Amino acid sequence: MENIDVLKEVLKAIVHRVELLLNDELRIKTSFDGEYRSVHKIELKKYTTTIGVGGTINLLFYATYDDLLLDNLTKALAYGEIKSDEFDELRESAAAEIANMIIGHAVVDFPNRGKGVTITPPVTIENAKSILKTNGAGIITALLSTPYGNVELNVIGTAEGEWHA
Amino acid sequence: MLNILVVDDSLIMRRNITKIIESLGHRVVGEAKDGNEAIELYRRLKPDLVTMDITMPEMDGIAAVKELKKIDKDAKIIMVTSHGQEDMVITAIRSGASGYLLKPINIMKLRDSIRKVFPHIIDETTLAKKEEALLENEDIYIPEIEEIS
Repeated sequence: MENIDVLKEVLKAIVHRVELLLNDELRIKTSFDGEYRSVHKIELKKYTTTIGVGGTINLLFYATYDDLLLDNLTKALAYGEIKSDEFDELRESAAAEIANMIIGHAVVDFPNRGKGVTITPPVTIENAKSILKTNGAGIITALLSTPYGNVELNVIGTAEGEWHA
Repeated sequence: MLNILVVDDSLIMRRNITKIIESLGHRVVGEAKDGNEAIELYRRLKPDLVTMDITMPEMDGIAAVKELKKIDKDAKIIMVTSHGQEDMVITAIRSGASGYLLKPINIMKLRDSIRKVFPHIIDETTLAKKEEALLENEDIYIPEIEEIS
């Protein structure tokens, strides 16, 4: 399978899992236009979480959230009232954990059922602005909308060549 | 009521699991961020049950389960993870875990897992159902008393 096709397959698996996670588990309704766009630049929102996927395939996953959506995801996960002085720390933790759940659940839908795939711990980036494509890289993006704003899902990897995934 | 130790490197997940445990009427006796802390707290607190994340820094959940089983072969541990890979489930169970839960956790998932490990335990949701049943019976019973009097 060509690398660019692997990137698209991985992103499809991720989108599917985000829809299940938000709609079924966290009761946040999502809508998706069905478009997987190849872009040159990702504009990042205030909170972005990244996870590296290695082994039989190599790519970076970025999830970037609108503030209000992340606040609501934090509330959904926190299970009960959150004191104002603990909210920021919980939100950062929620951003990381949600990305971890997304990739963790999606791995079984990756090419070859994710066999031989490894995942790094999530890292949350605050206040970064953008990611630019460099030579040889491919960036595929998908945008999911919710009543509280959007989450943009991106995968970045080597566009040319073929992984034995 | 069970005394439970919650082990997870994620702050939001420790909070999530703790709140759900409390809403089921059990008690969280301690929280640990990695396997080493979990072992230390287990020795000290002797909980009835441990919820154990798999992927953690320092010592991961699988290694921690093996260590806990050396300390106490009857330790009851429910593994909690974000990863749906089958091999991870098998490894966790073979290591001695009593059950396995996929994140995110909700009250029904955790309640059902606890009931599988402790079939005779009564939690708050069970009590609430019994109270409802009693109230329903009272509705039937009260008119009969009025008729007699």
